[in-house]
Amino acid sequence: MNNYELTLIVNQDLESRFDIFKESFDKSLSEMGFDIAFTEIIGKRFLAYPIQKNTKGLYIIYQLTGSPAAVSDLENKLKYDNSLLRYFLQRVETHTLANSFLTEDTIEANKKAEAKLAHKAKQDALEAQAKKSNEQSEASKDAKVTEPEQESESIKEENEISDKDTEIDNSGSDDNSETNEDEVKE
Amino acid sequence: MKSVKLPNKFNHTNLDVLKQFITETGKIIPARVSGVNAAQQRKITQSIKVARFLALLPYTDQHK
Repeated sequence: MNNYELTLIVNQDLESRFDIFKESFDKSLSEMGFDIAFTEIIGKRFLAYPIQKNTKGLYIIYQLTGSPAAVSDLENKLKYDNSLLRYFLQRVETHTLANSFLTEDTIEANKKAEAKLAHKAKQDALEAQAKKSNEQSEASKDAKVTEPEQESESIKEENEISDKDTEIDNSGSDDNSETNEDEVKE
Repeated sequence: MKSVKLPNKFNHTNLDVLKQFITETGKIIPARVSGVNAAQQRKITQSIKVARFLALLPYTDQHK
């Protein structure tokens, strides 16, 4: 019988069904002949880099005791488990029967994230207020924008008339008509 | 040379310890720079590599 440490990164989509997943996993471990000495449930953590496009993962660390034959069974199961992003099975001399630094670190990180969210919510509320006032001013702006289009059309017509009248100032009037077209497009 | 704090016992979960031994870009700092002995350096590199695999530490600063 050897001592092992098994670290799992579970897909964050399973967060709502995490307890069910853990129960079934514990069951399969005991069926394979493993004794669970200690489980550390770290919870949701930001990954240092995305794995299969996931930015967060649920971490669990198991301290197990079992036979080497059972380990190959376990590795076969882990290999084909789609709910796991990563697993790390390591033989250890002695079990660590206390929470690691990760739990502490994750709790602190979550606290910071919550504080950030609260701050964001406040800012969003302020922005929403600012937007409302902006929308009112924009509505008045839109009305102004439609007016010049009509004006430019009338200018164009005037230009065409002027072209017919005086063919000498062709270049100048062409420039005018081009700029007018741009305005219409806008 | 910056002073480093190295506890007697640590593993890949002690990120506060391991972060002292990686650069801003994620590289492992050589022992001749950090000043730890060879046995300690072997343990540090092994722990950092495991922590990287478990997405606890970055391999580089250019992850997408």
